[in-house]
Amino acid sequence: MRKVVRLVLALAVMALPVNGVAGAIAQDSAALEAEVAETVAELTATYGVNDIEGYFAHYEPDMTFWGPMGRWDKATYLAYWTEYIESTGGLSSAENSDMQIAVAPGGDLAVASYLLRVTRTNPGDGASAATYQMSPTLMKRNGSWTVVHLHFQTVPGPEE
Amino acid sequence: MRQVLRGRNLHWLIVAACFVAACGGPEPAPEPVVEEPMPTVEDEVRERMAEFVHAYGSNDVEGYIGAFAADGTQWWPGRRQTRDGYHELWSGVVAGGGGLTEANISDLQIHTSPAGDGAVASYLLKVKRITDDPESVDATYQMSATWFKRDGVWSIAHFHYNPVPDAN
Repeated sequence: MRKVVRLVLALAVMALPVNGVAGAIAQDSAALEAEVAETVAELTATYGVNDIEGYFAHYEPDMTFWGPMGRWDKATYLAYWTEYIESTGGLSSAENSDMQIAVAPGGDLAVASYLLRVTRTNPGDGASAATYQMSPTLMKRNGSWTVVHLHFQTVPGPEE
Repeated sequence: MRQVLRGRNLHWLIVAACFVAACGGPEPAPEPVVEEPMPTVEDEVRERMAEFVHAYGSNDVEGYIGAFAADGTQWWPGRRQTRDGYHELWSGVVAGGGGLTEANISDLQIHTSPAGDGAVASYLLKVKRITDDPESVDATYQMSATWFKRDGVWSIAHFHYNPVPDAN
């Protein structure tokens, strides 16, 4: 009986650090997901208020990009968006929904996928609102998350 | 007598020199050690990408779908998709005589994480479909695959694609 008790105690002691590590990893993962969620929220907030500098500060200089216009880089995107805001007034709102985030085991690469709904200040003959399927991949460098790749496409719908 | 000794000494000297030359002479220069360069994280992802696209193009359903993480997310045109949903759909297509005759990637660009267990690959994928409609044989897609390495295995944590209508 004593042997059984000792065995159970030994197993319990062995299990403690493992559970502790697993708990720490889960906590870290949740904390990292929260960091990424905050960064993406800032990305969308700056986008929605036409803060060009603040918005593009979230993108790495060597970022890659897939959009409805094909393969762009940061400079092309910056030039396009600056001209768009100057000529139309840009956006009046931008809002995220259906956010899903995954963080790599090392904790320095993450991908977010979500819907982005925007309304345009002066749509002209175009639609006043649009929804996009968004997939930014972010990397954590020097303590900050920035976007290294963005893939987005328009959700076809009646508002388009 | 001295000459005889000299002759004998000379004889032994030659024998010894030959022995040293044969057994313990100067070592030949060692062969230069050519070390195989260690594959980089990007190399690993490129190899995994090649396997992934090959499995897709050869209608290897299990090999192809096996590249997707069970908990991964996917954006398809206009909607989300799951690995199980994709598995069911693609299995049905291939079992019904459909699928592809070709799948080729181009413009592959990869970012890898400092920790070495995360990467995102973006590329163009051109395929030839098995179909009776000649207008639908060729298709081109903009692709993004975000890969995680878990327990030593790379799998796709997020997948996003959309067709490029005017590419064909």
